[in-house]
Amino acid sequence: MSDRDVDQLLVERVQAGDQTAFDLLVRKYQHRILAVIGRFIRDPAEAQDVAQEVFLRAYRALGNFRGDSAFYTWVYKIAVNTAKNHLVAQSRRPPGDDVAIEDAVHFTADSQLKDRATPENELLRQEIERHVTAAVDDLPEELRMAITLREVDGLSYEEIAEVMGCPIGTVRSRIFRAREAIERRIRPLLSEN
Amino acid sequence: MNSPSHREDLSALLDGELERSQAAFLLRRLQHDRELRESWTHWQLIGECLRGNRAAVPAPAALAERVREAVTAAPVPRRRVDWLGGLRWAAGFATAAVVAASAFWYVQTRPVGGGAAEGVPVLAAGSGAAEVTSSGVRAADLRRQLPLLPVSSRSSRVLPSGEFAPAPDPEAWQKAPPVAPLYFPSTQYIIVLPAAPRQPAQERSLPAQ
Repeated sequence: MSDRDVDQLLVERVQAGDQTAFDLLVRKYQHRILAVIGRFIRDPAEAQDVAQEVFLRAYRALGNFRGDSAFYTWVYKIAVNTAKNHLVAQSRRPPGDDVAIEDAVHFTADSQLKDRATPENELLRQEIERHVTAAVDDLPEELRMAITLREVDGLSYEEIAEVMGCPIGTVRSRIFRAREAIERRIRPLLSEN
Repeated sequence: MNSPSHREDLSALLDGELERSQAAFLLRRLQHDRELRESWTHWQLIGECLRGNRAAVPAPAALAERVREAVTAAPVPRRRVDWLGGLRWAAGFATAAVVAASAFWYVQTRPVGGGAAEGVPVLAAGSGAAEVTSSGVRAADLRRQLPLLPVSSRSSRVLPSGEFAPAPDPEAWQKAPPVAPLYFPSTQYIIVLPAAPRQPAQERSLPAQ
């Protein structure tokens, strides 16, 4: 299953009445969607309200989602439209420098985000990034290699097993242990958030 | 506290490496396991950081919970059936069924042996015997007057010139139930007429071009 397949599986579960599946989709994409909305709305509290509205709209419209495009691309469109409508409703003019839908999935947009992200968010992001990097550096070699091949290079378990010369079950276990170790380092930071 | 095996399954689900059946089981567990849901959030963020995606702003933990509560009150977004597409299929199927039924009915009811649909088919007689021609009598006309008897290939014979087929037995006619059961739509019926005198060959010749 690819990343898109996972999303499609979750979407099908939602369409079958499983709200937890939608919760997982929200938790997966909330960071990116919040960043997209942040390009239009600077106030963090206001941006969160709009993000909530975006996900609620997406949930209501999910019956029409047929999987022709990636779930994130679809939500991205809803986010941009909702944020613009929000500004118009507040008699504020939305910015005109949209990111193309096709680029949305790969959107990093450092320069734009640096300008628009709030100092608090940017500080938190840098803090988390530093802790994640430090946690990865502290991992045993086999765990570091497994998590890097998976998250950075995007290899499947089978490919990683081939590269590392170990069974797929071992790869699965190593990636899980690496995530657990990194999460322990950043959990205090995220709890404060 | 959730078990390590569930957490490892969650990690595999995040990577798209969990079987569908296991995923369904895990999702049911996630409904009641907040810690497991939070780990999913954190692992997603870790992935974004490792990939260097600076566009991912760490969302406050409360956001997902707020959305979750709002979604609980909303109706379930069932997948919509494409009625238009379904109707197209149904219409196509109905048309095909009607055409097939019409063709079947036509084959069952049309007289065998070629000839016009409404006319009585003729039996070609051997040379020197009776010559059979189209009578112009319609099967429907005969149906009301005589109990027509089916002619099978075994019982039929070629009549000599000028001889008529024997008339039906009057008793059988009287005893016969209504006409319909005696009429076999797919069976051949004949009327044998005396042979007409042949035309001279020169009269048939085509005009010179």
